[in-house]
Amino acid sequence: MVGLNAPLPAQGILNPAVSTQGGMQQAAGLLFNGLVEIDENAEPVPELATEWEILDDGATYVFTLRDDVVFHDGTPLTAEDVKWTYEAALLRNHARTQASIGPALAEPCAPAPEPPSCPSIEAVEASGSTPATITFRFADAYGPLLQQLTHTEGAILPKHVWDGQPPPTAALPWPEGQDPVGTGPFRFVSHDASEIVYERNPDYFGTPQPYLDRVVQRAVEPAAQAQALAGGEIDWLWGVSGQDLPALEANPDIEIDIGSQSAGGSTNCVLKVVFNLFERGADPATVREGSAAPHPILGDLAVRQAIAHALDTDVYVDQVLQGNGTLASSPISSQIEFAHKDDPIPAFDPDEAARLLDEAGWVSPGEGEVRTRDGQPLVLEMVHFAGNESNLATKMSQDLALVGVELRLQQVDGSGKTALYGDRDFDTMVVSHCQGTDPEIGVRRFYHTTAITGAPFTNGAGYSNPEVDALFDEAAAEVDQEVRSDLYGQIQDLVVADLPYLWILETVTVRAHTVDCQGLRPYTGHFLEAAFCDR
Amino acid sequence: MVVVVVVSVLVDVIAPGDPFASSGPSLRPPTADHLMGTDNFGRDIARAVAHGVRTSMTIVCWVVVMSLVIGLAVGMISGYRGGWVDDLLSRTTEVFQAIPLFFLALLVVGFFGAGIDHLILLLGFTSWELLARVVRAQTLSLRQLEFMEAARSSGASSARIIVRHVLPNVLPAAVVVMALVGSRVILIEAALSFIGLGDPNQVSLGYLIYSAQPFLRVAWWMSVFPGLAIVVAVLAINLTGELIADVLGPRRTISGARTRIGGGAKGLVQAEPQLAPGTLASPDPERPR
Amino acid sequence: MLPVSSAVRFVLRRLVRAVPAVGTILVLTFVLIQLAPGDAVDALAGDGGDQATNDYLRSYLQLDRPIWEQFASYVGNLLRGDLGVSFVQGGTPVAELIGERVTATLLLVVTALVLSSLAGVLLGALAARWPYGRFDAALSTVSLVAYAIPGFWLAQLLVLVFAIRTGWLPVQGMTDARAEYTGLAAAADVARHLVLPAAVLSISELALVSRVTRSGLLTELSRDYVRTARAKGATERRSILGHALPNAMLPVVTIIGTRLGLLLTYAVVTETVFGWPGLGALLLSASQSRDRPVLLGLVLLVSVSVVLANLVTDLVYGWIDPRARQH
Repeated sequence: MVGLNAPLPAQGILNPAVSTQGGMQQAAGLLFNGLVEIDENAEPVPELATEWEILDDGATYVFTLRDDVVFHDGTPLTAEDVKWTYEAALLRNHARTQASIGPALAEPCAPAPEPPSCPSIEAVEASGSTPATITFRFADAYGPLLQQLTHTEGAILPKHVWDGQPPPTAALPWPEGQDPVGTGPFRFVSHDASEIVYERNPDYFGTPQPYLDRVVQRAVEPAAQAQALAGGEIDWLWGVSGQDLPALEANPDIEIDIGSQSAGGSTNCVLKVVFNLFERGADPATVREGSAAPHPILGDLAVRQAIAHALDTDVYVDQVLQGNGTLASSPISSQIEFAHKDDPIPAFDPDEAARLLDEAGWVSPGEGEVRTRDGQPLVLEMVHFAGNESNLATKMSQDLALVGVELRLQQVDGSGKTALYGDRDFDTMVVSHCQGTDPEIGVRRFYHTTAITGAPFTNGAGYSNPEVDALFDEAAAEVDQEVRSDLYGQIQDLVVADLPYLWILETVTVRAHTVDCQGLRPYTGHFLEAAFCDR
Repeated sequence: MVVVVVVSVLVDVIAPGDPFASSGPSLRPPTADHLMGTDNFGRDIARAVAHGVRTSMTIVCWVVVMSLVIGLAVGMISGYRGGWVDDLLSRTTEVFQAIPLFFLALLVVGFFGAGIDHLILLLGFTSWELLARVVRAQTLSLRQLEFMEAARSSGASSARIIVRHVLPNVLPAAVVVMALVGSRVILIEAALSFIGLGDPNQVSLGYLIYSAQPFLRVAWWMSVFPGLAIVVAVLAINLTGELIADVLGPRRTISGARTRIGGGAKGLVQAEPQLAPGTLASPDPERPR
Repeated sequence: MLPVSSAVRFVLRRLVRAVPAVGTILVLTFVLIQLAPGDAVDALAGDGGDQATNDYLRSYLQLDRPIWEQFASYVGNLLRGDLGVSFVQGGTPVAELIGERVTATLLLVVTALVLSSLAGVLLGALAARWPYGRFDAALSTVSLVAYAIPGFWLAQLLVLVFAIRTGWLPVQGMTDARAEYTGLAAAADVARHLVLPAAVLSISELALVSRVTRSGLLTELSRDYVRTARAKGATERRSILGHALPNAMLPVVTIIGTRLGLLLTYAVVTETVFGWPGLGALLLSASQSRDRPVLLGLVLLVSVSVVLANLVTDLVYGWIDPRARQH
């Protein structure tokens, strides 16, 4: 019995290759496999691929496929399944995979709605004793590929299910009436409004795993989670809220896993504030060219620095995250080896904040009042979600009020945020995003000029610094980790000086399970693959 | 009610300061310093509740004023003029009556953000249908009475008759209905805030209960006091509506037979059936008695 | 009873008159969704899809066509009884999504309605039996307060007391997920989960029904026909139950009927607190993802049930009170 902290995904969308909605990750870990998995040390380990070869100085990857894999419907896995999954599903629909691998390939793939085709991905089927292989060709050396082939980033689908049908999209992830079919340790059984039921896949290539006969997934209200676990209603809880932690820790029947990684190897998520450097509503294209007008308030570096100095972040971990996390100390997550070690982010210093604002011409008409410049009040809007983001926004508005900056909060839902981000129609916005195992996956797209696209989780600040762009490009093509570390260090110095974002908190994920159930893998791979329950 | 009004008007004197400002350690149970404890941001709950009451009452006042204007106008004109005017207005009222109000509020606030201005406009423009039907029914029966005949035959204009003779007579019933609307508005605002659709820039009672949800196990005071405040506010509005209606004096009651029942629940009990009778398409809201 | 043909005509006339109201509500919802920031493709794209794919999705969902065309096509399908498929739930038919959940919501709402009606009439009758007595006064006060209590807050308190502190009742959900009960045991399991949410939803209903019953009864008891019955030696109990109560039921029936629609929408909040797998969660997620077909389907469901509840109320009314038939 697994309790989810996210809403239950609908049956129709249980396809992690085309949809990255909440709750999908957990379903993906049960039903699907990628070519390569990541272990608890973030090292790639074989999964559907038994081994791989890196050629042409890192521009070509050849993967050898297992020969004993069958889909849940009994059909054997072929190299064509893998190739088709990438060209028809992943590189068109998967948010992260299409944005990272797609542009790096030697030749571009055909866009929707053209027939799927990626000339840079080659499939060779098995013949005789030669196993099947799949080859990826990139334009230049491409370092992070092995981190991007897991079941969450590259779940492999059975091509034959779509024979004579249009390829899957987020709107129609499976042909009508088709149950989800994968290669994973568990098979799909049923789905209704309150739960998804899975059963053991007896033909799993990882046999004798899995050990569990049946798995039920259920969404649990946050307020009821801890109670449900302690009361034995569920065995395994994803995402324990900080305020419930002490009670669960004191419970001898419960074990807690605290960690920064989540299944699939995405590391520490960072809660940060995006400053819109250009006037609201500017077209992303004009921002990219640098021809848009600067933001009347935030275009000034001094104001951004003042905001950073105004935050009394000491209490943020407790009051925003209820203890589940740490203060961010660098633009790159502290869980990635390239994180800046010297904590360069501006520290709490309200006097300095006041001084910077005075100098920038924003003067206070009186104690506790909102600063003005030429009669214009220093009022900024902040767009955020509910939950932790709302806590952060509330806390920031408290702190900024003390230095004479008024922050007006605007809580939105997912579609609203995507639309505001795309139209660049915001002053500041809270964004929580996971950086993945390599800066190429989750860091580059917030800083590179080419990433000013208006798409969510891209360069929303509109930040453009040719030096930073060049360093990112250099780091992506570099194979020597020492050299990369130095390049990312320089990047972090530059972006902290320019402050297009404010990195505030790193969240950790806390999971809990009953002592009856062991062998759970909290932070890597298929979390229930090796689990067993004693009762 | 006196308490509620005093709190709303004098909130800055009783509970000075920004309700968003932190004023102590977080999640502390009630003490002499913080009568109702503090929340997860170290904010004083007592102060937040006082400001929350004001927010709720502000919304109520605006919505009541808007509904009064629309509802009285539609009801009196409809009842007095009759004919096609009545038909048209009654049909319009029916449409508004069929709108699942909470549902609509949920969509509007969810889509366009939770400013209290959105909420006031939405509720103000949709909460008048009950009043309109009650007033129309009253006007219809007033029209038959002798003093109206007298006024008409003395050559008074329609507008004059409506203002001088109809309005004073429908007012007591209107007050009772408005009390009902007022308490409904408080509950709707609170319910919306509770499912996370409140205005994050305004401390409201529902918002406080919503933020208490994750801390229920560790900080009961975060939920209990704002909830009590809602109960008190709703009670106060109902009782006051009743009181004003009594003061405004002898009248035909809404539902006809009036019996002495304890407390101030008369308005509640008498007005509620009016929610019902017209139903979606009934031509005569007075029908069920 | 009414002659059949006139009853049918009455029903038909009422249904036809309801069409403009329901139509207006549909148009309103349609326009609201259109005006809302973001669309279903924004929700589908999640944390960023390829532009070509998003364009393709918009044309696949026909979101790139003029709004009036989209509306016309929706109404066309609706008239053929087709509610369409969800934009974001993998093309699942709306009827299926609603069907999966409507039973849970109805179970909750109907239970609350029945409980509160029965208990409310009983309490009201007891209060009317000894008016102005101690029980009457207590009921007055309690129901007045009960009517002012916000349901979701009461829900929190009940969870705190009965689930968290004492552990007597489950905190959330409709069934115990671990156990696989069948037959009676399964029903008992659901019943255990049903206690708290149904109690929350009933409470203000109960207050209302008991008050209306009481005042209705007192009015009827003072009427001549009851006095006559009493004079003929009927017991107090008999004069209440046998004579006054049926007539006093008229306003009660009206209240119960009209509150159905309200309860359906307010159930959303109660379901949220208790993790009840009903329409509430569907409504919230559909609103967040701008899932228009699902939202319209829900709006339709609620407004049509209001229309039907009112209709049934009036029919029951006519059945109880012959006087009302003349209208």
